[in-house]
Amino acid sequence: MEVQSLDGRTLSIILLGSGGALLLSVSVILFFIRYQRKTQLQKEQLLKAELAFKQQLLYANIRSQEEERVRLSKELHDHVGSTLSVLRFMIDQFDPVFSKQAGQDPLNTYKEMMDGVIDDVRHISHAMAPPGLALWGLQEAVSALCEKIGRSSGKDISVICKAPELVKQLPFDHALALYRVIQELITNTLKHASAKTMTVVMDSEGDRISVVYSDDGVGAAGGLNTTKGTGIQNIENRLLMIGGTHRIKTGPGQGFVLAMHVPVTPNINKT
Amino acid sequence: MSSIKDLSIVYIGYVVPFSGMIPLGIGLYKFRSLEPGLRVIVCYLLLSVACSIAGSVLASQNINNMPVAHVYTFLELILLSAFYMSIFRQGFFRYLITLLSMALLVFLAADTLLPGRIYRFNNNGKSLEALLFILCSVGYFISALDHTDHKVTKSSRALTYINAGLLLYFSSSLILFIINTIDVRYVSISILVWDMHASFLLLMFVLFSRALWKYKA
Repeated sequence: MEVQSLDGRTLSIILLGSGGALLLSVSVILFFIRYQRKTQLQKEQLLKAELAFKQQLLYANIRSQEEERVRLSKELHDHVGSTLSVLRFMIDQFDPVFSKQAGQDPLNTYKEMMDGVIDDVRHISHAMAPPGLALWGLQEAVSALCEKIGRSSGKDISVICKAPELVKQLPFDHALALYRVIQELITNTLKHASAKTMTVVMDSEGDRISVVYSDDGVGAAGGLNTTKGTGIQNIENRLLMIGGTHRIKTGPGQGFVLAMHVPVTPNINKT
Repeated sequence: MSSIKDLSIVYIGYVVPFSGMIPLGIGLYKFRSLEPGLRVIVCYLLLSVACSIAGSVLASQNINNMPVAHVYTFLELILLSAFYMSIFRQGFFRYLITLLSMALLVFLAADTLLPGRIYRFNNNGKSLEALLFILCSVGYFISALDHTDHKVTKSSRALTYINAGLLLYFSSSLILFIINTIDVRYVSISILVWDMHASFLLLMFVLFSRALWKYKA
């Protein structure tokens, strides 16, 4: 083999070829690593957001349960407890001889008080688990609820059902969840919205039921980006549990509309 | 010139082959816990170190060591194809690798058996092999990007390093294998080619070491 100086052209080919291939490979590898890291980061952020959302729903659920317990405790104490205490006191003080002499008949009073207690217990019981729901279905239960609240508050609350047969097919869990949601919405409207009328419309969408609640109140300040209170979180939680979806439309002076879509078949999403 | 040649001999004949023992040692230490693909890589490292030592011993005895290169290329093809089969368990890439590997094996065997070829550098076979494994390693990266549910684990990171090492080595060395097809009359170019090849091999060993060291089952 002849010993000669380097052929410049061959050397250039070698260096450019190898160097270029090396650079290209390094670029490919770096691009891959960067893209993968970016994707991984996005996945982690999504997972964090999902976990935070689920935690929020859980807290809302727990808060709601505690609030319910406090309300129940208050109602039992204020109505049932106090009435029974007075009754007890009156029975303690009862003197049959004195009553006869005075011409008094306290038994009627005791009966009236007992009737009051029974009414209170019935009212608390119905508030906890509406009996009409299991017996007559969602449409009847919601209509009864709206009629009762409308009478006591003086507001106009109408219920329109365009798919009564489909609504009757709702499993009890789904019907109860929707009942509670409507109850929560009406409560919210009465507390915050200063609305005159509220409407609940039930309709069918294939194998799903759509329930649209609307009021003509002041709407929520901040529109769709309103920070969600416990009430809305409870609603979201309940709908999530039965595989339902929802959309909210509101704004200052625009009233409030919440459209829910719930499957008729029992497709409960346990979170 | 003579000192450069001596340094090259030391570098190519001893430094780089012995550096291959580092990833080999790590691989053997963790062999039981390695997944099948990485075990194949350890076997490949064993082959690489063994053939390097054999080549160096023969060269020091002034014996033509090209037959070792032929055997090495043949076994390298089998082992790296097995590695990629373990990664691409199904689909188009697996089918393609199987087809191309088998065709290349036949070509290598035929090329070796031609009269006189066994004592000459198997540049055609090496070039084609380099192209095949460039395709495979790029295919791995595309496949990993494609799968949006691809989870980045310590195992998948190890595979990324291995593939990066193979891509860098074969893509950078391809032009060297092709250049070697030319009847190289210039000693200095020949030395340069083999020095560069050894450096790319060293780079690959470094990435393999990292992959095997960081790997956790």
